[in-house]
Amino acid sequence: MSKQRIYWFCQIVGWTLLILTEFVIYWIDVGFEVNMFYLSIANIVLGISLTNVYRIMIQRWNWVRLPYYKLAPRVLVSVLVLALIMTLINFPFDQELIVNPQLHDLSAFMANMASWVKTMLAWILSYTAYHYVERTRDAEIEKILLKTSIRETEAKVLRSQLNPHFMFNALNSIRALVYENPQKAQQGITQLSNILRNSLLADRRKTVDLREEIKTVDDYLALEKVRYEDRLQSLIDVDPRAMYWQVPPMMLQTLVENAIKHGVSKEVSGGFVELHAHVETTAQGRDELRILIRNTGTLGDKEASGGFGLKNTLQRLDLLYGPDAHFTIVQEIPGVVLADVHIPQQSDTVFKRETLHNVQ
Amino acid sequence: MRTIIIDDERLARNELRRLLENMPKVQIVGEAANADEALPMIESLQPDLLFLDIQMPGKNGFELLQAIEGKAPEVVFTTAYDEYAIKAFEFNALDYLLKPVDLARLTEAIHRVEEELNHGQAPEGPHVPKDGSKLLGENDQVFVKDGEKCWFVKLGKVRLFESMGNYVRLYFDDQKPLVLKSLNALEDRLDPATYFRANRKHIINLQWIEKIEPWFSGGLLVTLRGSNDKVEISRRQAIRFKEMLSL
Repeated sequence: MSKQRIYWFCQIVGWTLLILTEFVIYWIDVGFEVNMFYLSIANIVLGISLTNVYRIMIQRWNWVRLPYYKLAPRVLVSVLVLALIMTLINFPFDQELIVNPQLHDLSAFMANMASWVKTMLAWILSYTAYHYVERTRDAEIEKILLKTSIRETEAKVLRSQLNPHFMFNALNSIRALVYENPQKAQQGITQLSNILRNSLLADRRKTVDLREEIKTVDDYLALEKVRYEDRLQSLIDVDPRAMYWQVPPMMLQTLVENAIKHGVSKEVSGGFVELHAHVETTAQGRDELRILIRNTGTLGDKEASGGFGLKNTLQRLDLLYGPDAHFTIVQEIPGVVLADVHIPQQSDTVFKRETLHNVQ
Repeated sequence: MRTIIIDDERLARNELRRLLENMPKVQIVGEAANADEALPMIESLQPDLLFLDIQMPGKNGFELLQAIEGKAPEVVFTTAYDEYAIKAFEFNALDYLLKPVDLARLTEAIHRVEEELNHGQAPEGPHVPKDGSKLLGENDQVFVKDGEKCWFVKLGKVRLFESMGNYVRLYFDDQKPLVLKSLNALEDRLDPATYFRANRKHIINLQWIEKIEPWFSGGLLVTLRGSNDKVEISRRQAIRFKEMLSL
C-alpha cells in the first residue's frame, strides 16, 4: 500500500470511528436523533478536510525541517485554530441538540473547545511525529547509500590505473616493429590487448586468480622488453599452490610497473625485476599469499617512493582485506628495492562487503 | 638541416628515422640514447635540430638542454604522454610531437623549424660568424628552465642580466626566470658588441637602452626600454662605456 493510501485509510477510518463512537454514546443516552446523525457525518467530513488542509500546509512550508523550538509554537497554534473552527461550527448545533441546563454558554463553549483540542492535538502530534521519524530514517538511508557509493567509486578508480605513458610508448615500439619484425609486432599487439582487456575487466571484478594476474604481468614485461630490449631482465617464480589465490586485479601489474618506472628506467644501463609468489602459514596458523617484488632501484626521494602507485596499493588492500593484508617497500640492499605483500585468504570483511553490496 | 635524434629506445629512434626519410631536407647526423652520449655529439656536430625525448635515464630532456654550453639548436620534443611537460610546452609554444608520431604533424613541425632557422639568419645578413669563438650573439637562442616553466629565448630579447648570488636573473618580455649560472661565466660567453657589464651585478643589452643620465661620482644611470628598469653604470665601467659608444 502506498503512503498516500495509508494516509487516506487512516483519515477516513480514524475520523469515522471517533465521531461515530460519540454518536453511538449519544444514541444510547438520548435515543436516535436524525439531526445528530447528519451533524456527525458533517463532522467526519469536516475533520478530514481540516486536518488535510493542515497536512498541505506542513508539506508546503516544510515544517518538519524546522528545529523543535520553531516547530512547537506552530503546532500549538494550528491545534488551537483547528479546534476553534470545529467548535464554532459545532457549538450552535450542540446548543440545540444537547439540552444541558447546568452549563452556562461560556463554559459549555469551553468544554466543547477542550474536547476538540484534545482530538486535534492527538491527530497533529501523531502526524508530525510520524513525519519526523520518517525523515530521520530517510536521511540515515541516504547517508549509508552515499557512503557505499563513495567507497565503490573509490575502489573503481583505484582499480583502473593503467599508465598512459606505458600504453603510448608500447604502441610506438610496436609501430617500429611492424617494419623490423612483423611477427614480434603481432605478438606485441596481442599482449597489449590482453593488458587492456584485463585493465577494463578490473573495473568490474573485485578479485581475480593469481594465475590471471601473473599472465598480465608476463605480457606487460614482454612489452616493456620490446622497449628496453637488453636493458631489462625479468624473472617470475610462482608456487603452483598459489595459482588460484584471489588477488585484486591489476595490483601486481601496478607494482611491477612502478618497479620499472622508478627503478629500471632510471638506470642508463638498465636493471632487473623479480616476482616471487608463494603460500605461507602465519604465526596465527592462517594461510596467506606472500608476494615479493625485487628490482633495481633506490628508494628515498619522495618522488620515487611515495608515488601514487604505492598509496593506491595500500588503499586497495585495506578496502578489500582490512588489517589482515600488509604491504611494505624497503631498500633491501643498496641498489635493490624490495616490495613485500601479504594477502590473506578471502576474509570475512570481503564476504561482508560483498553481501552488503548484493543487498543493495 | 643537420639533425640529431635523442631517445633511449632504439625502436623509437628507428621509427622516427624512418618517418624522417620522407623529408629530403632533414639530414640525420647522429643518434644518441642518453644525455651523456648526446652532449659531446651536439658539441662536435653543431646540429640545427634535435628530436629530444623527455623521459630518459640519467639526465632527462630538459636537463640535457640546460647542460648544453653555447647556443641551443632548434628542438622538437617527443613524448608518449606527459601531462606536465605538455603543459609547459603549450605555455611557451615550444614544439612537441606525441608518440606514435603522426607524419603530417611531423612535416608541420619541420616546416616550423625551417622557418625559424631562416628567420633567425636573415637579419644577420653579411655578418660573418666569429669562427672558433663560441660567443653568443643576439640571434642565438638559449634554453632556460625555471621550475615548471621553460623557454627558448633569443638572446636579443633579453635586456638585462642580474646577478643573484649563484643565480642569474634574465629579464625578457614580462618574464624573469632564474638560472643557475654566475654572471662572470655568462659575461665571458656573451658577445661584447651587444652585452655590456654595467657593474658588479648587472649586464645590459645595449640595444635596449632608452635613456642615459649622468649619475653620482662619475657614474651613469641607464633606463631600459620596455620595462623602465634602471641600471647604474659604475664609474670605472662608465669610462669604457663612453669609449665604446663614441667614435
